[in-house]
Amino acid sequence: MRHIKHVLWSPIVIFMGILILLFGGTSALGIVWLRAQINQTAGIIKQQEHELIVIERKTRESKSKIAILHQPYNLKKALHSDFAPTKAEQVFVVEERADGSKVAKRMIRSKNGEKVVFLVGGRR
Amino acid sequence: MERKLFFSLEVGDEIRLMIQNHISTGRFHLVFLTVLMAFCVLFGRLYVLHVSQADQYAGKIEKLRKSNSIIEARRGNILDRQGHLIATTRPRFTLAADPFFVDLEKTNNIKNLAKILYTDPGSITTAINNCSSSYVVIDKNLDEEQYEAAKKLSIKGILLEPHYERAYSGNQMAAHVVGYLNKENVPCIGIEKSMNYYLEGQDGSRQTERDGRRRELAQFRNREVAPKNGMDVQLTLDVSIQSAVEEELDRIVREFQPQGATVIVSEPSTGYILGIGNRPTFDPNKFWEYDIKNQRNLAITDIYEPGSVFKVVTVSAALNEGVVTPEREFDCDIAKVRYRGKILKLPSDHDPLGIINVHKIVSQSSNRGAAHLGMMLGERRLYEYSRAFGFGKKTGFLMGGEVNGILHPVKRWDGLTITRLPMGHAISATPMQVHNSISCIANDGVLMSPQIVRRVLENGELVVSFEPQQLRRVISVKTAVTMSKMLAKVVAPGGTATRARIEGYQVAGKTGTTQKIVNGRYVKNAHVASFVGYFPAENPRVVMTVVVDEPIRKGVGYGGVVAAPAFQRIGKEVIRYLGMEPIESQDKGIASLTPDSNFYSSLN
Repeated sequence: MRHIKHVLWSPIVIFMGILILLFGGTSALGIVWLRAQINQTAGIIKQQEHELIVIERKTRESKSKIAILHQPYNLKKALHSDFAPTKAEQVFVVEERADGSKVAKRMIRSKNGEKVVFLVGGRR
Repeated sequence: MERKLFFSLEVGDEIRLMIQNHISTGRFHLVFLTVLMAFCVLFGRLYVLHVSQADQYAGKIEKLRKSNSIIEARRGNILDRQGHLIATTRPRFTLAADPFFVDLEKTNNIKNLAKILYTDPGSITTAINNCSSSYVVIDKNLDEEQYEAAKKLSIKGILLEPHYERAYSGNQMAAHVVGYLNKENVPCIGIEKSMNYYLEGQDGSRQTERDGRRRELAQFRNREVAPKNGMDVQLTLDVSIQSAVEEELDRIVREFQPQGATVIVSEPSTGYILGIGNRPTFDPNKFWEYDIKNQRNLAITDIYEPGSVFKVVTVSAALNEGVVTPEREFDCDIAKVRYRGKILKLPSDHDPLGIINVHKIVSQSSNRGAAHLGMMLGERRLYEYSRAFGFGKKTGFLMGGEVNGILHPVKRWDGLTITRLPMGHAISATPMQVHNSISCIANDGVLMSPQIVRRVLENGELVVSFEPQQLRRVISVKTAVTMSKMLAKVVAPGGTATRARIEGYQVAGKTGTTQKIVNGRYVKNAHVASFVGYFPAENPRVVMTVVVDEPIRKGVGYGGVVAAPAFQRIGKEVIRYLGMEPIESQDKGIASLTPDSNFYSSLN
C-alpha cells in the first residue's frame, strides 16, 4: 500500500498529470481560438462579399447610365453633329515603351497620298 | 458549548433537530413532494424534448437555424452589333416602411425622405397612416443615388430592399425586336422571349445557418451552388441606323398620321438586319402604359398586297426564263386579250403608256405590261417563282408571331389571277417577305435568310455564331444585274420614285401603291404606300423597305410620294454613317456592271 502511495505521488506522475492538464487546457483554448478565427474569417468574407455586391451593383448602374448616354439621340444632342465613320487622322495610337514612357501617334494623309506617322505625344 | 455542539453534529442530525424544533413532519413531506414533483415535471419535459419528440423538435430547430437562400443569376444583356447595350439589368431599391416604428412626429425625417423621392411629405404620411399591416411600400423604383441618400437618413422603421429590373436604354428603340420582361419577369415578345434560353441564366443557392436575429452565420455555410449568369445576345442591329429608322418613322407619323408604318434596313449579302422599326410602338420600360396592339411587329405579323413592288418578281421570272428580253415591246393600250380561249380584261394603268418595252414596264410601273408578262410565263411558273422569292411562307425570322402571307396554289386561282398577280394583287405578304425578295435581287439572285441575332457571348467569349444563311438561288446573276439596271431607272428622272434619289449614289428600287380592301372591296381613299430599294445599285450594301399603311394626305398616298422620301432620308444617314464612297470617286457605275464582276457568278 505504501509502495502504491509512493508511486502515486512521485514527481513523474505529478509532472505527467500537470502535462496532461496543460495539454487539455491548451487544446481547449486552441479550439476556442480556432473557432474565433473561423468566425472572424467568415465575418470578413461576408463583409467582402457584401462590398463586392455593392461594387457590382454600382458598376451595373453606371453601365446602364452609360448605355443611355450612348444612345445616338443623346450623343447627337451632345455633339451637335451627325455620325460618320472614324477618319484615319482621328485615330491616336498610344504605345507604351519598356521604360514606361508613352508615345502617341496618329496617321495623316499627305498631299501625294502617302501615309505619314506623326508624333503627337512624348514622354509623360 | 452550543457552538461546539453545532460543529460536532452531523448534517442529518441538524436537519432532524430543525424538524423537531421548527417544522412539522407533514409540512416537510409536502415540500419534499412538491420539489420531487417539480423535478419529475422537469425531467418529463426533458424526456419529451430530447427523446420522444426529439426528431420533431430537431427538425423545427433545423428549420429555424438553417436557411436556403437563392442567389439570383443575372440576366444577360442584349447588345447591338457594335456592342452597345440595348437591354440590361440594373439595380433598383424598394423603399418600405413599418408603420409601428416610423415616428411621424419627426417631421424633418419625412420631409427629407420626400425630397429624395421627389414627392410631397403628405403622400408618405398618408401611405403610412392608411396601412393596417406592418409593411407598406412607399416607392419601388429608387436608383443608387436615392438609395444612398435614404440610407444616410437612418430613419427608424424605413426599410430599403434591393432588386433588379430590366432596363431598355433606348426606350422605344427597336422595341418590337427586343421585346420585354413583364412584371413577373416573364419574357413576353421579341428577343427577350426567343433567346430566353441563353439570356436567363440559372439561379444558384446557398445553405447556411442564421442566428436569432436572422443574420447569416457565414461560418456555417455548408452547401453553395454558384449562380450561372445569362449569356449576352449580340444582334445584327446597329443602334445608329436603328436611330435613323426610328426618327424617320416619327416623322412619317407626324406628317401622314398613318394606321401603321414599317421600315426595314438590311445587308443583302448576309441577310443581317441593321435596323427595323414599326409604328405604332411602345416603350418596353413602361409596356403597361401602351395598348397591346402596339406590340405587334408589323414587319412580320401584318400582311398587305405588295402591289407594284411585286412586278419585280414577275419581270425577274420572265427574264430568267428567257420568255422576254429587256427590249421586247408590249402594247399597253390593249384592254382585253385572249388567254387560253378566254377573253380577259387587263388591269388599267394610271396613264395610257402605249407601246413600251420591259424597261419601261418597270420604270413606269405598268400594270398591263406586267399582266402581259404574267400570261407569257403561265400560271405554274409565275407561282413557282413567287414561292422561290419567299412569298406564301415564313421567312424564318427569329421573332415570334410571323405569318405565312397568302399565295394561293394555282388550282385555287380564278380566271383573272393570271393578270392580277403579276401586278401584286391577289397576293398578300408581310413587309419582311417583300424586303427579302428585293434583297434577293440585290444579292445577285441568291435568297438569304433574314437574321437578327449575330452571336451569343458568355463573358465576352463566343458561344454561338449565327452565320449568313443562303436559302437558294432564285434567278441568275445576269437576270439580277439586268433587274438592277431596270430598278435604277425607277429612281432616275422620269421614273416613279425620283424622290428616293440620293445625290452621288445610284439607287435601285420599286414603288408600290395599293388600294386597301375594306369589306371585300378595294376602296379608293385608303392606300398602302411602299418603296423597296437598295444602294449603291452597282454593288448593293444596304436594302431598305418603307411601308406606310393609310397615309393621310390630299390625293393618293403614292409610294413614290410617301415612302420614297423616307427612304432617301434614311439612306443619306446610312451612307454618312457607313462612310460609303460616292459614285464619282468609283471606277465603275451600274452601266458597266457585268455578271462576271460578282462573287456569286461562281455559283451560277
